[in-house]
Amino acid sequence: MSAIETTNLTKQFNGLTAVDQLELRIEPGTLYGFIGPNGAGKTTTLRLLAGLLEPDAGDIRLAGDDIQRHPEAARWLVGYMPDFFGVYDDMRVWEYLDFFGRCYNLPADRRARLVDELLALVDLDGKCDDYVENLSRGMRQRLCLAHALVHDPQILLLDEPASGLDPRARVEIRELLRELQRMGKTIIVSSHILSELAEMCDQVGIIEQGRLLVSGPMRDVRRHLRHERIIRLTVISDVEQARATLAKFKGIGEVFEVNGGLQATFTGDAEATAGLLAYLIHHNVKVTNFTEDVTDLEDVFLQITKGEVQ
Amino acid sequence: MEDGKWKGENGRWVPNLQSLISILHPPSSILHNPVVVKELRSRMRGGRAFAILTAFLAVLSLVSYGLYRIVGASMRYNPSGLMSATIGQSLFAGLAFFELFLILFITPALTAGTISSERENLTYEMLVATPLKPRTILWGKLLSALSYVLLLIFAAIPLASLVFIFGGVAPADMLKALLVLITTTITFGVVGLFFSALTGRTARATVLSYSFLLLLSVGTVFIAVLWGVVQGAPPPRALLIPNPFSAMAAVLSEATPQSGAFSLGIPFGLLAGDWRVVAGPRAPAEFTVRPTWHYTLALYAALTVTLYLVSTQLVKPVRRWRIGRAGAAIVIVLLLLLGVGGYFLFKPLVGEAERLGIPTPAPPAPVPVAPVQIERAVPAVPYPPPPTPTTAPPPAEAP
Repeated sequence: MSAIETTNLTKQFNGLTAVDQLELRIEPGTLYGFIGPNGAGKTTTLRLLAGLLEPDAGDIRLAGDDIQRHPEAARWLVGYMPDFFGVYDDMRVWEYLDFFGRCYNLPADRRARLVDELLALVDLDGKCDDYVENLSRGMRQRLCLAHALVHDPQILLLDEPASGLDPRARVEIRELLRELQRMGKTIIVSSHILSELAEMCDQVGIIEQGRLLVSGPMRDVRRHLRHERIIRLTVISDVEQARATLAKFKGIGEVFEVNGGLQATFTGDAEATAGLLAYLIHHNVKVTNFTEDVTDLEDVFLQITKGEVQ
Repeated sequence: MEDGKWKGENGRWVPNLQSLISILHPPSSILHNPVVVKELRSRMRGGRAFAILTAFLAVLSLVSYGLYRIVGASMRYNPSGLMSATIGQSLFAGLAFFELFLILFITPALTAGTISSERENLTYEMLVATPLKPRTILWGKLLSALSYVLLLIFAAIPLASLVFIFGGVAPADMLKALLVLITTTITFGVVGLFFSALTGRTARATVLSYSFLLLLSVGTVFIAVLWGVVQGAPPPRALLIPNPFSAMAAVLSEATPQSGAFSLGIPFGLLAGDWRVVAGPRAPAEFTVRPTWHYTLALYAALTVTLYLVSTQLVKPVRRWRIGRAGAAIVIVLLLLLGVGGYFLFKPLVGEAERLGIPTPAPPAPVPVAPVQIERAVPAVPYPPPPTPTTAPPPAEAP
C-alpha cells in the first residue's frame, strides 16, 4: 500500500489549471523531493494532500484512505508545514507546541513530555520560554516543523522548508529530515531548487504547469532528464593525444580543453561510461581523474522544463 | 471522542470517574477548547487587560459622579425639591447607556480581528489542518473575546449597585438592563466574528462591523425621525426594534410607570418606543403593549444564531455549505424555539391583538378631528383682515 497515491488529481482556480491530472505514487518511508518552478502547482498539490483544498477531479489516498470520504483521516495522517506561515504574538515556544498538542486532543501529561521531546528534536530546547515572535527565521522554521510532528503523523508535507534560510540552517533542516526519514516517516519536500533536494531525496518528481513531468528515483530522473552527460577528465601529459583518442569513442560529442583538463559531452548510460574509461586506459591515456559532471542540474532542469512550457 | 476511552481492559464499558468527567466536560467544552486556552493566555498576559479594565471602571465612575452632580444641581431649581429616587434613576439610566455605548465600541474591536488575523498572520492554514472543528475554533474565539467584555460588564455591577443607595430602581430593572447589555454584547460579538470570517481582512471586518452597528443604533433613529417628518405621523415601533439603545430605553422607561421615561423626557420615551409617549393622551391607561426590548432580544437571538451558523461554514477550509446531521437538528430545534418564542411575543399581553406599529387602541374620537379642519381653514382665509377691494392679493400667492 502506497503512503500517498493520487489518481487524475485536478484542481482549477478561476479556469486556470493549477494541478493537471496528477498521478503520484509514493511508497512509505520515502523522502520525496517535489520540484518545480514557482507557480508550478507544488503548493496546491500539497494543500490538496493535506485536505485544505478540495480537488475538482481525481482521488487522493493516504495510507489507503480516501480522504475525500474521510476528511478527518488526513488531519491525523498528515503533518503539514506551509511555505509561508506566521506565529502568534504573545506566545511562548512551549505554549505554541502545547496549543497544537491540545488541538490534537493529547492528554496533559503526554503533552508536557512531547513538548520537551520535540524541542530537543528540532534543537530548540534552550528557547522553551522565549516568545515565538522573537525567534529567528531558521528557528521558526524548525518550530513549525515541530508543530507538524505533534501528532506523530505518518506523512509529512513540507512546503519549501529551507527557503530563505542561511546555509547553516539549511544543513540543519536537511539533517532533521534525514532523522525523520530514519523514524520511518514518508516525507514530501517541495522546492524550486533542484540541487537542494537532489542530494538528500530518494525520489524526486518534477512538476510544471500542474503536470508531473517525471517522477522516480533520483538516478532514473537524472537519466531521463538528459541523454547527454558531461565527462571531465584530467591527464598527466599529452593532452592532444588524449583529446584525439577521446573524440574517436562512440557517443562523444564536442571535446573542450578546460584548465588543462578535458571536458566532453557524452551520450550513453552508466555502462557506456565505464566502457569509455576502459577504452581510454586501453589506449594508454594517462587518466588521473575521470568524473561525470553531476553538479550542473540547474541547467538541465531549466532545459527540460522550458521544453514543456513552450 | 475515541471509543477506547469508554472501554475497560476487555472491551466492557467501565463507568469510572474519568468517563464521568468527560461526560460533564466533553473535549470541545470551554475548559478543553485549545483556542480559549491560547487566546486567554495571550490576552491576559502582561498589564494590558488590567489597564483596560481599570480605565473602563474609572471612566464609568467619573461619569456617574458627573451625573450625580448634574442631577443634584438641576433638582435645586425643581419646586418639588430634591428627590433621592430621581437621582437613583438618572444615575442608573446614565450608567446603563454609557456602559452600552462603551460595550458597543469595545466588542467589535475585539471580535472583528479574530478569524481574519489568523488569515492575515498566516496561521489559519495550520489551525484548520488540525482536527479542530470549525465550530470549536469559532466558539473558542467568540468565548475568549466575549469573556473579556463580560468581565468588564460584571466588574461594573458593584458600581451600578450604587444606585440602590438612592433608590428608585428595583433590582429587577437592573437585571433587565443587564440582560439587554449582555445580549447586545453577544450579538455584536457575533457580528464582528461573522464579518471577520466573511472578509478575511481585519480592516474590512472592522469597518463593516462598525457600519452595521451604526446602522442599527443611529440609522434606525434617523429613519424613524425622517419617517415622522415625511409621514407626519409617529414612526412604527418596529423601526426601533433593532436598536440596542432603544431596547435599553424601553427597559428604563418600564422602570418608571408614572412619568413614562425617567426625568429624561419625551425624546427618551420616543427612543424607547414607549407607547405612552408615542400615543400620547390617546392611549387609555388600561391598555398595555409589549415593550420593544422583548422583540429586540428575540431579534438579536435570531441574528446571533444565524450569523454564527453561517460563520461556521465560512471558516471551513473546504467550503461545502453542508450542514451535518447534528447541525440540521440544531437548526430545526432553534427554528422551533424561535417560532414558539415568536408566538408568545406576538400574542397580545392583554387580550387584544397588537401590531408592531403605533398602538392605536382608542377609536379616533370625533372631537380632535374638528380642530384639524379649522387649522386647515386658517390659511385659506386671507390673513390680513382689512382687504381693500381694489388691490386684493392674488389667491395663488397665499400658500
